[in-house]
Amino acid sequence: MIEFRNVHFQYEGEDAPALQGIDLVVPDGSFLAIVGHNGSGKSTLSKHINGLLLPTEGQVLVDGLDTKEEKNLLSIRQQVGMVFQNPDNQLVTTIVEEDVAFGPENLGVAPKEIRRRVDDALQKVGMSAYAGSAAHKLSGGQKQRVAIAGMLAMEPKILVLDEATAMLDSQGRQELLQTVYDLHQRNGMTVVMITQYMEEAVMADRLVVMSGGKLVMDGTPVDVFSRGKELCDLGLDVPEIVRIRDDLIESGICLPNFILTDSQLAEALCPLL
Amino acid sequence: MDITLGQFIPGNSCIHRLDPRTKIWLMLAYILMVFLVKSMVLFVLPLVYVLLALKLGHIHLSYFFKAIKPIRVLLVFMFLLNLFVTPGETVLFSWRFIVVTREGLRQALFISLRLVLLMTGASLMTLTTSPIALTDGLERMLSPLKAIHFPAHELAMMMTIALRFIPTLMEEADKIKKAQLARGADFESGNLIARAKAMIPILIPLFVSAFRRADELAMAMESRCYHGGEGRTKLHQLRFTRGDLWAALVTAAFLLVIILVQALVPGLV
Amino acid sequence: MPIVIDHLSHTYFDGGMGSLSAVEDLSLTIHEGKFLAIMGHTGCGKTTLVQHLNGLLLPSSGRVLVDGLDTTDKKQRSTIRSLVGMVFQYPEYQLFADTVKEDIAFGPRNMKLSIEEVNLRVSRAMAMVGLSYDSFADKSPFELSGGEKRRAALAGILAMEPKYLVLDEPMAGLDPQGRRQILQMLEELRQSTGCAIIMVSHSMEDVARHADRILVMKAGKQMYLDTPQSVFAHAEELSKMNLSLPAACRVAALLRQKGVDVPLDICTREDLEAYLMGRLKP
Repeated sequence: MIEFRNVHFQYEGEDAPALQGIDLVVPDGSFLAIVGHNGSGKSTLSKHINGLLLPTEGQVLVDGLDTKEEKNLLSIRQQVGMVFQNPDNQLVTTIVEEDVAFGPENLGVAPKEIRRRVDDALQKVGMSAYAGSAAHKLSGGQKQRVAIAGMLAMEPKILVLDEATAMLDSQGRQELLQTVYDLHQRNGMTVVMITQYMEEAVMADRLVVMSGGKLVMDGTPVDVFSRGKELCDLGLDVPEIVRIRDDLIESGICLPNFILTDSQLAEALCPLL
Repeated sequence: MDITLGQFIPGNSCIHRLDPRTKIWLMLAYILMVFLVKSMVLFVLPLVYVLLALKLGHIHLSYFFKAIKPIRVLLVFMFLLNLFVTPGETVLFSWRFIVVTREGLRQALFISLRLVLLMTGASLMTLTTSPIALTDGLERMLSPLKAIHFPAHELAMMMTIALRFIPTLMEEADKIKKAQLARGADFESGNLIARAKAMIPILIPLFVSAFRRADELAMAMESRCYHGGEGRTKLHQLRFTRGDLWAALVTAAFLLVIILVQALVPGLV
Repeated sequence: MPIVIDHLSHTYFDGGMGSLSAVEDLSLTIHEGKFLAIMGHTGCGKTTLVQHLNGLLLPSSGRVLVDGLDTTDKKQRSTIRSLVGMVFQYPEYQLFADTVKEDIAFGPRNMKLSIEEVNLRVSRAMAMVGLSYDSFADKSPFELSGGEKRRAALAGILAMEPKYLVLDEPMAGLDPQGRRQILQMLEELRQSTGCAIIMVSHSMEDVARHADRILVMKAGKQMYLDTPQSVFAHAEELSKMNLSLPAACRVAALLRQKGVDVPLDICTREDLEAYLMGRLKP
């Protein structure tokens, strides 16, 4: 469980605070998406989860451990796997399996156990065939999946994706999202996904909107995306499907208002046609 | 854009399987061989040694030429310099101020051969040893020095990261160069100063990007519980095997033969 | 006059070990003032193709003519580069000068324009991308926010006042509002100056809405070259290539699978809505 208690944060030399009084609880096994415009503070928030940044005021607790306590950091970071935006800047070593081993090596895991975890993690993200490959020759999507494997090898409970799909092409994005979704569904992984793409946020069971360092909306994707006007004013958007749904409803076509995906829309339209 | 030095080709040959520490020691022995050889005929021995290793490591001969490529200018320069500058008595050829002596030619050939052999050996090592194995080996070899606060682990980690990012930064440099070319930048005309100035639009973005990458990488490493070398374990344990013993014996034999022949047959050409 | 790509092939040599064909026998005419979108996977050859348009890469065989000028002709190269502006992916990573205005002036200066003309173009380009001259001209480009950096870098290309503007994923990494701004700016640019837009993009909704034509590439070859309606009519083939489709197109395809007779030429939200309204509210 992740708990933010009235967290404030200000970067050194900046006038405006980046986070202003964040209160947020993420229970185990949930899938939370965070959206917000560039500079809304969502990335800053994600870096608080594993103590890369420490609150200037307030507390962040991961499974009850305070990130401010130096002695807690290793066990917090073992529990929170963090995947960043640029696939090139998070792989440390040249060969895929050696990179995946980096985390457990730092944790002092026994070599035999590292081997097992590396194989297991690569298999979970569908990259076993690339264990001996050179990391820089993979596609962006493959690199990100290796990065996820690197996290899984630490056996975390929480996976944080900080705009991890932003630099990928559509195929890479699909592969990555599917991998994350499977980990959530099959292994009960808690997921916190920060994204610029409203279509991705639909996958989550809870959606939080940030603006100016504050949480301004919090609810299910259905709830949040029913407030299209407000989202637009915040520099955001609704998924294209939601816009079609709303246009049709507005024109008097009777459609349920929980529709978020293309298959739901097709399903609802079919009996009418 | 491809550099052979520092590029690892994954494989499972007997050379690949050698312990990296062994390979570092063998490399030192090989360098010794190359410098001990004082006669043209005996150069056959290090040559055979390195070719044998290439063969055993399943490294295609074309990589040998690729290894030479980056140093060809240096090679020609060193050859000509030694050819003309070395003093000697037996004149082979002279035209105006150009004088080629037997001693000069010999010296030039020696230097070039040594350079080629060293380059091949170094490439062979990096082609058959994954960078992380190499740094692991170095770290282990240097770890006794930790007692006198020598940063063996930090050094090894720096090398690992440098090797990982060489291809990435090369790609980036190429991309930035193209982007500035598209804005009409001209890197080819003008004198030396003008050309050096023309590099600014490439170098500044490259540095900015390298710092940004370093910053992001540091965060990624911290997120993965990196906290220095203390208490770290390794996926690949280093272990000497029978193969290492054989390699050491063969190398010692080569070295011994060279030393003995040099000592016993002084007049070799 | 257009850009004519005539039987273009480009082969990379892999250090003597073999060769890799990145573009194969591609012919295409890019017309003035039109919006061409290029789609395909990473590694399908689209980056190689666009780098031929201003002679950054030269054909292994075939020709590229920009307004009749051959890109292999060294004497014409600077003219060609001023005709064809090129915005690389994440262009903000090329910023280098001390001030925003100096950076934007880099291109026009390389074109050997007069100081007055350079200054004029810098202020015009800044206005175009929505960076006010008074507040941004003398700032360091490294102090700007992510979105502002992107726009400053774009201004650096626009200041060259190209006739053809090539953009590689210009909206990557921006939030929805940033994406809208860039697209809107490109539309305004096209209307006010008649500049042709050639855009590599994965953003299907935008492509469907804005492009006159779409080129779909696969393994270095032309797969489709047609209007968005006709290209997205091949929904099934595109999905097989793992390319995503616009939302409206996906819904239409799903309805078709369920046996509803949806026309093939639906590719934007408006198309789909108009069709549905026609069926449901006669």
